[in-house]
Amino acid sequence: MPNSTYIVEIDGLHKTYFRTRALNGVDLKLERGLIFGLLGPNGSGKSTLLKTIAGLVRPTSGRVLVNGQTPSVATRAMVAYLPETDHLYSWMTVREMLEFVSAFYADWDAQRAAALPAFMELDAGQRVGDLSKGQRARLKLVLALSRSAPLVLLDEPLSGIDPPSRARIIRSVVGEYRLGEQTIVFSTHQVKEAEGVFDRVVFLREGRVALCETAEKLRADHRCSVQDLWERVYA
Amino acid sequence: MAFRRLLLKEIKGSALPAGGFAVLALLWYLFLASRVGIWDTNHVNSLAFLPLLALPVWAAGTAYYGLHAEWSTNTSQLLLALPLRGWTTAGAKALAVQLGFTALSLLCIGGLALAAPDALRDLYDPYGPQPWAKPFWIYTGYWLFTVVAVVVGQFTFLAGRMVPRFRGPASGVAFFVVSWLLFRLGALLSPLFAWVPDVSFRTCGMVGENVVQVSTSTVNTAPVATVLFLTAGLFALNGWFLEREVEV
Repeated sequence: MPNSTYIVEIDGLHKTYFRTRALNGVDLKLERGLIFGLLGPNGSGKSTLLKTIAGLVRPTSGRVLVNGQTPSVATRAMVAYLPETDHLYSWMTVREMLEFVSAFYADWDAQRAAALPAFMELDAGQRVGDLSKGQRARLKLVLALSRSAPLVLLDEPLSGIDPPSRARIIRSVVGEYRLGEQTIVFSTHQVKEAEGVFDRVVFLREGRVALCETAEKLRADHRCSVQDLWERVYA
Repeated sequence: MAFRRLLLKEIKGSALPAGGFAVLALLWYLFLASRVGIWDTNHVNSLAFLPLLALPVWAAGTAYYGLHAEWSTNTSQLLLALPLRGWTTAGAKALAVQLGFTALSLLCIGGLALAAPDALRDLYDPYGPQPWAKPFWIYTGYWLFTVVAVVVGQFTFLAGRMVPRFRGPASGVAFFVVSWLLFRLGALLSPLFAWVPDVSFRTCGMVGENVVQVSTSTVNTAPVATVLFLTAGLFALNGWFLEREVEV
């Protein structure tokens, strides 16, 4: 059912790593065309949830559907995934990295891929291994946003990044977002800076969805910002 | 296009271990060349084969570490997120190693010709009716054995990723079990491949002073074909693991 309202449907998702329970019965449906903020403390299962949707981790039990299909080679073509960890080949240059990834995706937007490095202040000829942490984070974002994928998963794109780079990253997420066509799931601890872009907010706690609501309704109901609510819930 | 890009990435990625082996092999041949006339010729000739004997081990190790490096540097999160069938990824990696092996083996044969030409001449049959048949089939067998070693090397790593803990010992056990199974089943199931034509070639040997005997050597190809068939199955299993089973 690729034309359903939801791009991601998750029912009773459990994931256990040896003795550690990362996800403990997640039920979640993500509507198409919205930007989701995925919030939760360390160890709440945010990264595992995103990896499961991306098809990089298999559920211990439960069901995950991406565009109506179980994660597979076919769904990987629809998902642009930015992991929290550094997943770039350090021996490649920025240009080689972009050329390498571009070869695998039909939805690669060459024009955007050519324009984004300059906006992100990246030197195309520089080796990835020589980039600073902030530059690598921006390159990861260029790789994810250079695609017109229906689903974009951004796992902590602001983690360990200085404030100017964070602002630049948020600006590019908003700037490159295709309204109504793309769904973005944005996991972050930098709630204050990112909350302005969220349509809906998902709070994860101990591997479960504690709350899933529109950002606007949360602010109205609790008479505070999402950041304040986040601090109240998790502090 | 995608396979070519992946293959190029793998070739560039394996350039360092291949270069390292090439340098060591060249140093070894130069050392042996300096020992000619000082050491016993038989010793020099035997030692000259050492790099060629080590090369399949290098290939299996490079196949293993080619995958290991993806996980240890987190690039597995990029590789496994690509919309590629598992056999494409496993195939590009295996082909890059096999190409490296081929280049290095030719380099080693050149080194052998430099350091121990007599040893190489023994493999060649200059007066026989098919002078190049023997070295050709020996090299073909050696090349095919390395294909098996590369696929086993990949399987060894992937089998270790299938368990949550004790991945090193699990890989070790997987290596010995699958190697034993391949050659055991290769022998057991070889009657199924009895239809594969054997390889025959004629060689010429001295059986006395000024007496030359031409004889026919035959290679039973059924066990070889069986092992290659099983290796193809193991390769498919590697692809399945990469696509459906292993996690980042």
